[in-house]
Amino acid sequence: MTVKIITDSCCDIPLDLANKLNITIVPVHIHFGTKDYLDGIDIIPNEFFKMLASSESFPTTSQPSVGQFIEEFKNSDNPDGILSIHVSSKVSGTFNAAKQASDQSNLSGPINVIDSLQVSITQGFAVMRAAAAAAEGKNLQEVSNIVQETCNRATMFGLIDTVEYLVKGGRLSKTAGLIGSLLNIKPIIVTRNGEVVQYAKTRSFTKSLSNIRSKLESNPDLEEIGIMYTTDPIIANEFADSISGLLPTGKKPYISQLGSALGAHMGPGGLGVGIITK
Amino acid sequence: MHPYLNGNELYRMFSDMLPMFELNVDTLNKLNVFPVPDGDTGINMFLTLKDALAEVEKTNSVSKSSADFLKAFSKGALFGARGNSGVILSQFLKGFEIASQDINNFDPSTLVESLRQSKIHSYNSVTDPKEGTMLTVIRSASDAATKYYSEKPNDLGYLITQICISSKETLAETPSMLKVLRDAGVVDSGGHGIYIILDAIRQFCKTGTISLSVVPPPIPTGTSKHISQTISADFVDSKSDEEFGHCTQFLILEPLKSIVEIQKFLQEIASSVVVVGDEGSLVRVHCHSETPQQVITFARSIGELEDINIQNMDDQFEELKNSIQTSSEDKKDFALVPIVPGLGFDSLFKELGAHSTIPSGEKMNPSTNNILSVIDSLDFEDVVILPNHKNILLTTNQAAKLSSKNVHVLPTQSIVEGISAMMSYLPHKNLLENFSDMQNASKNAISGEINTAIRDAEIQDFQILKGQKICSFDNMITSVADNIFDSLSHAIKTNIPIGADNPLITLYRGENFTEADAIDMVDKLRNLYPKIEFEMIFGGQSNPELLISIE
Repeated sequence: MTVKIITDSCCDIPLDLANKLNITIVPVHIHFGTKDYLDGIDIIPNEFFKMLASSESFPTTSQPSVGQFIEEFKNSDNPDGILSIHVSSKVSGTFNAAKQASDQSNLSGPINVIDSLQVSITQGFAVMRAAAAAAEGKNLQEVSNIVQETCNRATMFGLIDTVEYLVKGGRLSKTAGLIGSLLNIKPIIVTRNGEVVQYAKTRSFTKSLSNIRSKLESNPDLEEIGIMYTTDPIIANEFADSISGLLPTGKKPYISQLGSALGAHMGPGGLGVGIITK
Repeated sequence: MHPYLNGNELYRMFSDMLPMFELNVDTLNKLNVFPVPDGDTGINMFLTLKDALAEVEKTNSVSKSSADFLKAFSKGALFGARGNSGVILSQFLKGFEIASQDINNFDPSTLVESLRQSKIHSYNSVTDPKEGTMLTVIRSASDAATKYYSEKPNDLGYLITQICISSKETLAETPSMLKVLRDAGVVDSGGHGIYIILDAIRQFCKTGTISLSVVPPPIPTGTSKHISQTISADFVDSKSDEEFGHCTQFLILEPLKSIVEIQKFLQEIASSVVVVGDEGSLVRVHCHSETPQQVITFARSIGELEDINIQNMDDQFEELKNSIQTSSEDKKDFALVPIVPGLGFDSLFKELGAHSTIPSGEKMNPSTNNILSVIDSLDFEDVVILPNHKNILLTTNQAAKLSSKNVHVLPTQSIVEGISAMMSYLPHKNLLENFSDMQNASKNAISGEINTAIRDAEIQDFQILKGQKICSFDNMITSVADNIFDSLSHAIKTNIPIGADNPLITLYRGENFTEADAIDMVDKLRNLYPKIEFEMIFGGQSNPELLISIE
């Protein structure tokens, strides 16, 4: 037996990849109006963005219930232990639910619940590294250390094309000097100590892309780059081509579709860029 | 304008009201503290109104008498009512239905009776009515209607205006009646929703239309300026440890018990109990309970249930908390005050986060005193001024020296530098960080302009005739031509130092440059220079005709 890795669907790891890596993903709930969906199970990102663009109501997400976690923990109970890695507690109640569940589960083996302070693929990178370390036979403490220090070196950027969703989601107010409809402003957001804050604003999406590109170019120690599109895989691939030389030889940027947790606020046309530095 | 409203006009009034109310949803959500700060008052009231209108359309009661319209409208509201505020709103509307039962036209006396019935039904629907809530605002509207009706019995516009004035005053007093509002620093959310509806009625009666705009909540009376338009982050923190339970709502078809009996029973096991509807046929129940299952079990025992909705208010509170705390990022410890040469720039700078602006123009550059008086009027000790013109820099420095506040001059020499500086302003950073970021960013764009020659001249080797268009960058003439387009195009082709990738040229048109000409010009430029992005924005300056920014 090895350490069992559990996470939530905010990590944006596709289900087939998660299965291959032996990672269990507990879905968060997505509410569209009065309808409730399990993220990644009842609704996949492609459908989510279609609904986001067409639905009148703005989706909200809520954490998996404590009960859902207790069930997963009990199923995964083993002498080598469970490592449960979650989306930043500053943006979701998921970590708290998992923490409560771990206190109530009465497991025979050990369990460690980690607040990644990350969201989307930077959380995903930490989870995938944990799975690799667990497969190598590292113990719970060793795997936890790897996750912790990966998260410490991670940053997630969000390049926004349509500010409408950021406003609708109430994440940033119109008066914050960010949402410029007159000047057609494209904001860039970033995770900072687990919170999502403004990073910069530019006058065009191309300028946002060059802003992040030069940010990456000025960093000689990139270990991972994840490029997460909401609706436009072409931009993601082009951007990946333009920066692939920045990674160590043999390594390629990871490209995938952004999930609902961050995607709802970024809206159509948005691009997430997650990095791990040395 | 209208002595009375017929059914068709009532329909038009409420359907015009809906999009306007929707615009106000977010404001209302952020005021929501009572009975539970779950941030949904706005959306609940909106959806209730929306369903009410949908019922009218479904039953085809659109072009009937006002009695028929209001009957369908009120029924739809009862079916669709969500949350405490939505249920009380449905009772507010029920008052309108009852008062207009046998009439064709909705006149001032119907309005008086409607609001009287609204008051009675709203108060009766709640088991434990509290003052300082939407009930109080409804009562005040009814009292004002009775009081002012006799003054001008045939003037609907006058009556509804007086009602609005009184309700707004009452709304402003709600924090002095209800402690939780005082603590949170807001007026009552549902009360504000009622005021928005009354004000929309007023607009419609006076002008026949309802303007699509956000109605700001009034400043509470007898309180300091710290009262704001959203719940304070401190209040949200203070509530963090409370448990709110579940908001539980449903319809009971043909209930075996009376409304009063249902109220009595539910009061034992739930709070915020609201039961409304028609005895024996259809009753809507709203309550807050730690044990929603117990509520449902009871209700099932007395009738068939429909539209059951149970929401975890702890989760809702968590979301509200997140949204408030993120928006508290906006809290500034200094004011940004640019000097702007036109209405367009005024909006642009405000959108980018300017706190206030000082106008300037060709012949009316602001005086030291102008600038000083604006600085003094602000509630900030630290003020950053952007002069945005080389000729205003000196005056601004002078004002900075004379002011008793800490005035920091960010020496932007042109409006283009000013916009570039504002682009890098981030509300969560402090004054020092922002000042230095903004100063660096002000040089991110190259600034140019196009002026009309006022006489023949020879400048910098250019032979210029009166009336010709002169394009210059950083005060160096780059081209001269007979019209703006040729002058600009020539400058782009030959002289503009475009080094960067993906150049973006923004053109700020002056007050005399029409929008049609602007669109035409940008189309031509895009065709001619497909690799350059162009944007044309209204600046509104009297001079120069065109300001140019290249980044």
